[in-house]
Amino acid sequence: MKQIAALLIVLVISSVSHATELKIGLIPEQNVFKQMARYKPLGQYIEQKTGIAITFTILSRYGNIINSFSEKKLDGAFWGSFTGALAVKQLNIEPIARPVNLDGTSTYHGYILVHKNSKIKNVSDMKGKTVAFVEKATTAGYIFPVSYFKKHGISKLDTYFKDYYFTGSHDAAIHAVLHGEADIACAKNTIFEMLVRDNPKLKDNLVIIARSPDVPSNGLGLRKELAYGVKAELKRALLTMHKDPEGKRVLEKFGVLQFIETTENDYAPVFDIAASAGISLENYIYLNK
Amino acid sequence: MKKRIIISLFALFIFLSAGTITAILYMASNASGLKNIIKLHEVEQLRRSLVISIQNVQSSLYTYNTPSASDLDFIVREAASLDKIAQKCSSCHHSPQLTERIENMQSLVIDYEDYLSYYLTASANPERTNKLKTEAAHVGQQLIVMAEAMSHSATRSLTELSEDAMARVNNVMTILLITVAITFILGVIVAIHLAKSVTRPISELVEATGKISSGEFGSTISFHDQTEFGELAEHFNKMSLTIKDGYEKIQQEVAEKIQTEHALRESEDKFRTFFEMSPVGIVIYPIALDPLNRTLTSSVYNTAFHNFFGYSREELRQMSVAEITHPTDLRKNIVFMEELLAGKRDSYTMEKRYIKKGGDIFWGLINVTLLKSSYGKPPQVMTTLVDITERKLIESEQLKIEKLESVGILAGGIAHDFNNILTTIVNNISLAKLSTNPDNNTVEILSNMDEACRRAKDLTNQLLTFSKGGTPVKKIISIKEQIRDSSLFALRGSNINCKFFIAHDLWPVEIDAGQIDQVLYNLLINAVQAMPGGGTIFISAKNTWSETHTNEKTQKDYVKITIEDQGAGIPEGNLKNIFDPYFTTKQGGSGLGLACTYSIIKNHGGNIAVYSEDGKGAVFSIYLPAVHDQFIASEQREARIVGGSGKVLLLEDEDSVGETISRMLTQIGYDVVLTKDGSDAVTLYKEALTTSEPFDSVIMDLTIRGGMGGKDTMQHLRNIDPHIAAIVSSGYFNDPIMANYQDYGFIGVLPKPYDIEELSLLLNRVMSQVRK
Repeated sequence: MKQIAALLIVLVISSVSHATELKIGLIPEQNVFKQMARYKPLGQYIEQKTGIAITFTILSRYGNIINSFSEKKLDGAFWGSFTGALAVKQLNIEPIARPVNLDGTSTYHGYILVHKNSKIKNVSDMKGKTVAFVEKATTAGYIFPVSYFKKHGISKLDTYFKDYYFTGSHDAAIHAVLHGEADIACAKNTIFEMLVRDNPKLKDNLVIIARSPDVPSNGLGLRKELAYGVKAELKRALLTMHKDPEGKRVLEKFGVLQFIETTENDYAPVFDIAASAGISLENYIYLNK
Repeated sequence: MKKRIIISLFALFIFLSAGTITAILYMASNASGLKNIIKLHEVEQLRRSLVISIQNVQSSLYTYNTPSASDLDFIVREAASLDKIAQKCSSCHHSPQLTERIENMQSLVIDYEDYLSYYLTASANPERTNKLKTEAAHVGQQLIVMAEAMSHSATRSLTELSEDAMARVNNVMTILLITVAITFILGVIVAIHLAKSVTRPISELVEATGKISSGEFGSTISFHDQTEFGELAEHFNKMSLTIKDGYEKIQQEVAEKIQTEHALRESEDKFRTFFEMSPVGIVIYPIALDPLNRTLTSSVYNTAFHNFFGYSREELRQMSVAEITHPTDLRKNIVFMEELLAGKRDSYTMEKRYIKKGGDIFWGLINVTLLKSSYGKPPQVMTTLVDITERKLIESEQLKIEKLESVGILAGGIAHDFNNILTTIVNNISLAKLSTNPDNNTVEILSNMDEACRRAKDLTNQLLTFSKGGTPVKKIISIKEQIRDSSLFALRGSNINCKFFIAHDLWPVEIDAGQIDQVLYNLLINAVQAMPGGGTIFISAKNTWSETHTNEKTQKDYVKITIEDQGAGIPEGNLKNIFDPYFTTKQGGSGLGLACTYSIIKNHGGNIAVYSEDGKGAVFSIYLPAVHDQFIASEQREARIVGGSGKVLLLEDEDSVGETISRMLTQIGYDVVLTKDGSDAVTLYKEALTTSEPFDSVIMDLTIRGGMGGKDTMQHLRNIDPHIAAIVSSGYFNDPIMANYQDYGFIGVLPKPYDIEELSLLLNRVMSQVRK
């Protein structure tokens, strides 16, 4: 009798939690318009394969993704590595899948970039310069550089650098250095490589000063409360789309080889970097000021 | 007409096509303008949409991070539509200048997006974010200005193009209107002309066709021209006349056919009438193997044929020809039929006997003809049948008569000479009796001799009568006494009784008494001979008429004389032969008696019948035509000689006869001049006329051997003296001149042999008449 009741409850919950439409958030990894344009085909493919309507909503900042996730009642998001870790810790997000880059890696790392004409070769040369971060809630765009700077004896950014600000997106940070608005840019390699693909000359104008450890690339994480079937469907669609000609085409346009399964364990490096940066994920204030 | 129509329509088509093509070309040239207009409209729409989108984004930009801020997704959507619109603008064909401007705009849009994104994603450093905001707004404003400028330019172009297009459209409308109007007018003209060209002949055709259908064949139309209608009219007229001719021919043929049918029907009716009413039997039957042995089931025969046989129609149908044919004639019939069927002959005729129902036989004359097949009908055989039984009887009787004639000719010759001899004997006996004392016994001897001569005379008369039946020398007498006298004479000396039943008012008859005597004598002698043991003969005479005993349709009166005996009767098989010459059942009989009797009665126009039953005697019935004319009393035979005076010319070639008659005449007081030749007689008579002593009378023998006979002599003498008193004499008392002496101018007749009494009486009468 109890078992029957339990089964009924599970079924009810499953049915209650079974969504036909999922609202997925997108972090401003790059230009928000390009970001939306990039993810739209993927969402259409998933909808076609699973029958679950996918609605993307772009978030203006990495920083308010946690708040926005709850405010906008999102069902999931394509998290960055740091925001993903935050979401796992603070939002009880279940990682589902992450993409494999064209080079076969499913991670990314951060770069600290300077203009080739800037004469900056090391941290010492960076003193009194302007730094363009991305967001405090990004690994490559803040956490890693802080960790790097800290390792190189820079504990107070305000005093060491002339100025620093948050561009909001990795491509904005890179463009800030290219346009002379900042001396140092902190961005992820995937965005850097994306920009280089669009404009090969760009690579000639930038110099990579530092490289962070690899962290999981931006992957899909869903609310754990979502129906098991939904999560399984999404997971299956993402993990098998490289076997489908249409899926392959979408992946190509998306700029990746395939999606692979992602678990909490995959965010371990993020936790390490955060720790080395002296950041506690549980109570980290990630709002930019 | 076809050419006219084609040319007219072609001209119309050409004109219409020209106008239409011109309009189409104008429209085509205008189409690009219209397309441009449409494009411009579309572009204008795009640009308006672009401006609106930019304005929306600008608005969102200005209100971002304020309570009235739009949702980031809205901004993203508006920016995305911006991008799309910018792409659409470049998809149209523009002038290079415009294309460059559009490309600039597209570049500005990209920049706008970048600046927007920078601003939207930027955080902290308000100065920086404001700067980003200002830059984005500036770019947005540039976009708006650019879009509006492009819009104004497009509007101008649109107006120009629209006006130009409208002008072209107006031109096209004008061209179309003119084309339609002229085409209409031309069409009307062509239609009227064609209609007239078509309707007039057609109406005439319809009218003429109507007339023809109502029977006015030969109706023609007057329309003619060089077109097909003219040709049609010509052909129609020919057709109409042909139909008329044909109709008249058909009518004529129908009339002839009707006439023929009537004639045929009439002929058929006539044939049927003839067939059924024909007294000749006709039977038609199909050709088949052994047709004579096939029943008449498939045959057609008329009433006359059917009536011959006595069968019912159903019975006759079940008979075959062979069954109704006498066996004796069947073989010959079969041979003829086989030859007919084999094609050896087309027909045959034969006499054959048929067997009636009941076994009676009749003779038929048949003509069998092969009817050859016609009109698909199989060949048939037609037989006509005529009943010739009566003819056969007649032929049989004719044969009898011919037999009689042949015998008669012989007998006649003998009788003539014998009569002459008898005449001499009789006359000499008469002379001897005159010269002898009546009490002398010699007179009795002479009387017996005379009687014997008379009997001899009777016999010769019988022979002469038999020879040709003997033309009777008839006189009207009452036969009552003769019956009685002749009967008693014939029965004298016999043991037979005779009873008479003679009507007192018996009609007179015109007969040759001597011949009738013979008849009675012959019948009575036979009756006596039939009753050798004696018996009674019943003789009756009464008046009667033809219906009772002949098949004559008109009533004729007869005197019926019946002689009935009580003898053994005549066997049935002999009845039909008893009147045949030489037929006799009596041993030693001549077989001439009844033949002579039959001949005499027939010559008198009468009839003789016999009825007999075996063992019950025989009844002979004689029918003599009665006479109701002036009764001339028969001259009783007087046994006396009458003397007289006068000059008599005697023409006789037999010396003994001539001398005897001359002596007799002289003895009774006449002057006689004897001559042997008619020519001499004529000369003598003629010479005597010139004298004072002409001849008072002439007695001439009819037959003068080697010289002119009595007939010719009489002709000559009548020419000399029309009132000549002449007596004809002959041993051939069957000669027609003897029977009808008055027709030849004679006033008396003396059949030889005659005696002095007869001569004296006749001559006395003649002289008396002369002297009157």
